Amino acid sequence: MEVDQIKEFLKVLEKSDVEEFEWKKNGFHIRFVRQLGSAPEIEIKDKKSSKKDSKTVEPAPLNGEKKKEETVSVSDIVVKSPLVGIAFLDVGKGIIQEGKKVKKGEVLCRIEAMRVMREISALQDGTIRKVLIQDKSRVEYGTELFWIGE
Amino acid sequence: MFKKILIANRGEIALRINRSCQELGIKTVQVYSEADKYSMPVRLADESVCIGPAPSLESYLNIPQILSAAEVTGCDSIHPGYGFLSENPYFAEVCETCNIQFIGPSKEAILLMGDKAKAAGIQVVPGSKTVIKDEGEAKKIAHKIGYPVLIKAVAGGGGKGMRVVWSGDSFENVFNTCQTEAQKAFGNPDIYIEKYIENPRHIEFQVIGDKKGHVIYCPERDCSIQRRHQKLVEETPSPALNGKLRKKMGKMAVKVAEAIDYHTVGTVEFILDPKGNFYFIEMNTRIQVEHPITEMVTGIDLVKLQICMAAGEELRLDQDEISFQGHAIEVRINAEDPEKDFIPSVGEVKEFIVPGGPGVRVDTAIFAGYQIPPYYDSLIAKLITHGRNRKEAIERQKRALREFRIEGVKTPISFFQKIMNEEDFLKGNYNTSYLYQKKLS
Repeated sequence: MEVDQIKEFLKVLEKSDVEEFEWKKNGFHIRFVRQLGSAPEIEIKDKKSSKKDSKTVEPAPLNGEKKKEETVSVSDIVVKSPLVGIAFLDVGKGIIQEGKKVKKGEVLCRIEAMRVMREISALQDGTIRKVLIQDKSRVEYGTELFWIGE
Repeated sequence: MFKKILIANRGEIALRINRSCQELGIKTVQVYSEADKYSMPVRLADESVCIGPAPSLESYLNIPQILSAAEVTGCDSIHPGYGFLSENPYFAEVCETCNIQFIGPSKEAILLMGDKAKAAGIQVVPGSKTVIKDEGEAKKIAHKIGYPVLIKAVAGGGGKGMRVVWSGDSFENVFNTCQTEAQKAFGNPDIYIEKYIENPRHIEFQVIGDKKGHVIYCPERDCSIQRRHQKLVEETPSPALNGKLRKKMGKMAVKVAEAIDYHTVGTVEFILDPKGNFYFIEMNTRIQVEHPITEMVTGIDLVKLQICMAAGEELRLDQDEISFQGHAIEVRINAEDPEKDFIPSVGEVKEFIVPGGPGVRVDTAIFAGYQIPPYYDSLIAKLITHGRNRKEAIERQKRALREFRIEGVKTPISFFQKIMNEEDFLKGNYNTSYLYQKKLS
């Protein structure tokens, strides 16, 4: 499945109320999970692709920000911000680092909006592949926060 | 004066607000939903913040997200435009609590407008005094004032959440539909009832007030050409008013604004019956879609004035300084198919060439290649023409409508061409039933 096809597929799903969708065919596996009131998270697995065979997904641009050149692996989960606010990466155990193993439900960061803190947790076990924001930076709805790999 | 304004709206009005801010030297932050990521307001604002997914309830009506966006970008004020949160008293109150200036009236002015107008001795259409929640109570009131009655959403506008009930038999059905529609469109199910006056003209007056209590009015707008209570053609001045009646109604409009200590721009709406009796119906406490025609004949930038009044500036215009030059007409070009009962037409705008030349103004946020999202209202452009007199304004409409090229989506351009050539319209002889009577809707 090509990136364009995935984008088309997501467009259709975004217009629907579907909260979770999973599709397997010829070794290809795509799972789509949307939490109520949050940006969608996507997990894509393709047995035919090697780890090196990664594909570029356009990140949500912030104003004035240069286009990111990093690539998200096909097996990565992209954690996006469900709200506008200030992101705090220190959740009590020091700032979260790339390479850290995380468990499902573990708090990855906190986002403060109107003096209320909201915790952003991992939806499944994995390793932090990329931290895409800086501590105390401004985030908006849909800003990519982390890539979590296996 | 404000340093940075957050624009809590989308489409042409967001762009319109941004333009006034740029001229005033105020920075802008445009909030947007995921569906509007590539829109003109986002491109032209100084900063932008995505506040949610496409549905309005999760983005343009999402108060916490909007306030959070104002806070993280350091905005000192919020302009709500029209629709969405523009007449939500709760939003006005929350802004105040957060030390952010809401560019609009106070919570009290929005809530108490009707009652205070009545207390000030302004003649109103008979109806319910307050919000009605209960169906039984509503029916009692309807019986008392007599059918036909009009059910309207408190937070309404643009014809949404508004229905005529001709007899008691269909009352319950219509009442429930109105409540549902109001909840869906404005996040507020509150409605009220009034007597329905048959074949009136819809005449409204722009008022402007400052915080010292100085209020003036601009010449009226005639918005009688409506389809299902949605205004389609507006003109100023009205062919139905003479100088004497204009002055009488204008003074009444000022009285309404003074009664609620109104200190921003607003519109006082009246219905005028064929005998020349007029009744105050409501005050729209926001900038309105049809404001450009007033700007064309008076030369006043109403959005700029609205911002200055909110910032506490003094209104340096006296009533006798307001004069109107010529005549202006606006038509609302929606993405809809007039051949198929005006159903919305979404999709990609493949070609978009706007008319120009003397006396033509087009307020739009559309460009060729733009995808019209299905989540919001279908207004894609306002075509405004100005002439030395009504005849010239109409001729310019005809010419501009011929020049307008919109491909990819259906529009009512041919429908407006019919109106601009229709005998009764040319004579200025019409009322709110015009489109129905002429079988044009």
